[in-house]
Amino acid sequence: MLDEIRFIDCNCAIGRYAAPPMPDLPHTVPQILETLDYSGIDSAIVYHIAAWEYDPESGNRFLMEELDGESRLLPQWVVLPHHTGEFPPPRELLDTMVSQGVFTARMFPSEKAGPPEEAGHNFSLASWSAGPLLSEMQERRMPLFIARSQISWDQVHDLCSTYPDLPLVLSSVPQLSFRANRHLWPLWSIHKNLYVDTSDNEETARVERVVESFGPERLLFGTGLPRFAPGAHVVSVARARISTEAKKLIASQNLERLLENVKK
Amino acid sequence: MTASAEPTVSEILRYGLDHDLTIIDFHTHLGRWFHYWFSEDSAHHLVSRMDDFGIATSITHHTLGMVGEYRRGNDIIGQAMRQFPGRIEGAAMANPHYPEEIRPELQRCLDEYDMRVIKLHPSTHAYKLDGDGYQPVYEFASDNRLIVVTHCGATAVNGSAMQLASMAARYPEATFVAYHVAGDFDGLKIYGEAIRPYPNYYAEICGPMTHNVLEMLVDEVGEDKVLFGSDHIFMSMPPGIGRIASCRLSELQKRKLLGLNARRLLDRLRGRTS
Repeated sequence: MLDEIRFIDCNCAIGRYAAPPMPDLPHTVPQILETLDYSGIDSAIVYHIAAWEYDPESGNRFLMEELDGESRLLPQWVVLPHHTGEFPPPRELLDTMVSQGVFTARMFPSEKAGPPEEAGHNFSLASWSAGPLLSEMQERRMPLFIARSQISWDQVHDLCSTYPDLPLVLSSVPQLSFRANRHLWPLWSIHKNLYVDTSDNEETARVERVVESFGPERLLFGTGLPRFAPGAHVVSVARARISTEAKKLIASQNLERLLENVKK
Repeated sequence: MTASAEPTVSEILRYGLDHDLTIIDFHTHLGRWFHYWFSEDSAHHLVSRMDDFGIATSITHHTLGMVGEYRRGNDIIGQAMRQFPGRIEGAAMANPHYPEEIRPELQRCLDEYDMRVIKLHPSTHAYKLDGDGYQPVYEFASDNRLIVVTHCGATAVNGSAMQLASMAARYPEATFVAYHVAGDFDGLKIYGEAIRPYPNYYAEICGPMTHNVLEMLVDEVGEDKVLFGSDHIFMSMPPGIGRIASCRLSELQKRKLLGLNARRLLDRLRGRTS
């Protein structure tokens, strides 16, 4: 029965870390594919570590070169506002992304230069900065992924309020755990465009309580590969006390729906 | 999964198949916590979650035991042991800031509830594991051949791997288990140096699900000294189980981590073996 559940990892990266937490982490396309196979995961959305740690435009280019059309790995670009000229104007950027099969974007807005998990590209998500890009993404219904360590809860609320048709996906990596249900519950009760992936070490019964309170549409299967071991989170979804239909939604169908909704 | 093949540990745990695995969770809690909300806080909740995976026994302390009113927590755990005999192996908590209370409280827990595990939380108590305030704990554990489990961090100011190693050396009759022995490469090397020399010093694994950690930890401390712990309710059991199920160790090694190693410790604790 559970073999019917297809898992698509919405939180995966390729490339090497500047300071890997462990040696021999999978980082090439073949290694990532082998790890997905070993873990029983069908496919993954991937960004390039260099697009975070070095430069978004360069990392996105490395990503496309390394993926070389590999159909099981769906490219995700790390993006910036256009004002400095590092990225083209939003409409042009999104046209380019969609034309190259890139249907999701990730941002690292943190102003901090370290520690590594909090280091970001140092820009504002406010309307005077990221507004044009976020508006265009909303227009296209292109999902935006942001790691929890990169954004405050007030910023999450502001983003979801200002861009109610923009799907916002919070991912955990590389934080250990959100442990933030006193933030998430009020946010989820207000915002239907807020999603969370499963890659943090959630507290007991998180999956069940979210499904009971807000429905299974709010969670997306994500692992944090290559930093985190992906098989752990497969079991987290596969053995949750929820219906098989809910498991299917979390494992892949919610993400597939978001991808289908992107205006190509 | 092929129909004829014997299911692997990974398949058993992913698909919820019937199994003969011995699974013991060496790190669980009851209770609440100031910093976030838990929707399940009781012994009934815990045992129900254990049943999901066929977990035989959990080593459990109460989060109330981590704060000043720790004796109330010990009593709740004692009641849970009576409610679920054999399923909950209760851990009494002791506070190093009230050292004169330690021996009487641990004796009370032993006499009233047969509590044979002691849990320390040097981080919450802001106290070094080798400090004077904890010595009555180790003396009591040594006198009664008990197990001491403790929150730990490889190089933590309060609760380091080496602080616990020095106590394992000083009290060879007690058994010591460091919690949260998982994370990064540097930390594992430190734990390896700390744990390897002492036959009475073990590693419990809950923490970040970092890739390759279990494989490396087994290399560092040996496959007989690694114990599964979930950190329920702070962390959910399924991913903790899942990381063992899906790591790249042998089937026997996975079985040892899931429970065979823990069973050996608990059998010795309960006098079921020599």
